[in-house]
Amino acid sequence: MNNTQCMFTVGVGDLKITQAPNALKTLLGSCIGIILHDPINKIGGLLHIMLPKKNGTDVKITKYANTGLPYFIHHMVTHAGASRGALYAKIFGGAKMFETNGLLNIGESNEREVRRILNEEGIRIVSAKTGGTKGYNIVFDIDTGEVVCRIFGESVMVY
Amino acid sequence: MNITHDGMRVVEIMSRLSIDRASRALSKTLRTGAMISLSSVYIADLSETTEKMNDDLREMTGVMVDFKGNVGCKLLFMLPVNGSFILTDLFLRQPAGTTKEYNEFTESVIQELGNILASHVSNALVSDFDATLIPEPPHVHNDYAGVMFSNLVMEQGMMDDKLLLMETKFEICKNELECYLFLVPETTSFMKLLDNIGVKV
Repeated sequence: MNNTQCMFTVGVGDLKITQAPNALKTLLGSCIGIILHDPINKIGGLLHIMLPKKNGTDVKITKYANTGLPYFIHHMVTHAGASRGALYAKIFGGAKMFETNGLLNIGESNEREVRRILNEEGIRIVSAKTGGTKGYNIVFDIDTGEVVCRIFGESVMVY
Repeated sequence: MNITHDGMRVVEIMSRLSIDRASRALSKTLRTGAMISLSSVYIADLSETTEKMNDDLREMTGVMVDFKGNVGCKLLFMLPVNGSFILTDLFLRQPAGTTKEYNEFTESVIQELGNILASHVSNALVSDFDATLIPEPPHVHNDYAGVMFSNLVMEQGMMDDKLLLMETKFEICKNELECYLFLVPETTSFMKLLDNIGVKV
C-alpha cells in the first residue's frame, strides 16, 4: 500500500465507498463484509451487514443484506461512477461467535443471503473467506483490489 | 430512542449502584482493592460507536453474560489477554507472574469473574428496583476488542440504530490493568423499569 492513502474504518451496519489510493477496513464477527470493486475506475466500497433480512421499522437499510446490498450496488454505479460490468465482489466474516447471542448461526444465514443477492445481480464473487469462530480484521486496498485478512490467532492472508 | 434528561439521570444512578456492588464483590473475591467506576452512560449510534471500536485491534479475553427477565441486558467484561494472567494469579492466590499463558485456569477464572460481576449487577437491580433479572451462564471468548464489542451490541442493534451504553473504568489494586465493563440494556425493558419507579421517559 502506498503512503498517500487514507484509511477509513467501517462500523457495523455501515457502508463506505471511496477511490484509489484510499483503503477501507473493518472488523467482522458474525456480520458479513461485502467488498465491491471496479478495477478499471479504481472505485471500491465496503458494506458491513448484520442480518440477512430487514424485518423491523428501523431506518438504517445498510444493516441488512436484502436492503443494503442492492443499495450498495446502485450507489456504486449511479453515484460513485463505477462501471456495472466491471464490478466483482469479495466476502468475509460470518463467524459463529458467542453462544450467548441466541441468534443460532446468524453468520451462515448472512452469507447465504449475500450469495443469493450477488448471484441475482450477476456480480461474481472472486474470493471469500467465511465461517469459523473468530473475528476477522480486513483491510481493502482500492488501488490493487487486494484484501489483507487476519483472522484472530491466525496468520495474515491476502485475497 | 428517546429518553429525557431526568430519565438518563436515573439510568445513571441505577448503573452506579449496580456497578458499586459489583466492585465490592470483586474486591472481596480477589482479596485486593478492585475499583469499578461508572465513566459514562450515553446513547450511541450503532455505526459510529462500532466504527471507533473497530480501530481497536488489541487481543482481548472477554466474558459475556446475557440477562433474561423483564429487564433484558447484556454485560461484557474484557481485558487484554496478558491482563487475564494477572487476574488468574490474584484469583488463585498465586505469586504474581505464575500464570504465563492462557490455559483452562485462566478461562475458568475469567468465566467466574463474569459470573460474580453479573450476579452483583443483577442483585442491585432486583433488590433496589424490583426488576426480574436472571443471568445466563457466562461465555468466554478471545478475540479483537472491536469484534467482541460488536457482538455485545448486535442484538440491540437489530432493533434500534441507537444504543444505551454504560461504560466503566476499572482498576485492580496497584496493577495497571486496563479492563472494560460494558452494560447494554434492552431499551424497551429499561424504560419499563423507569416507568415502574415513576420516572417519565
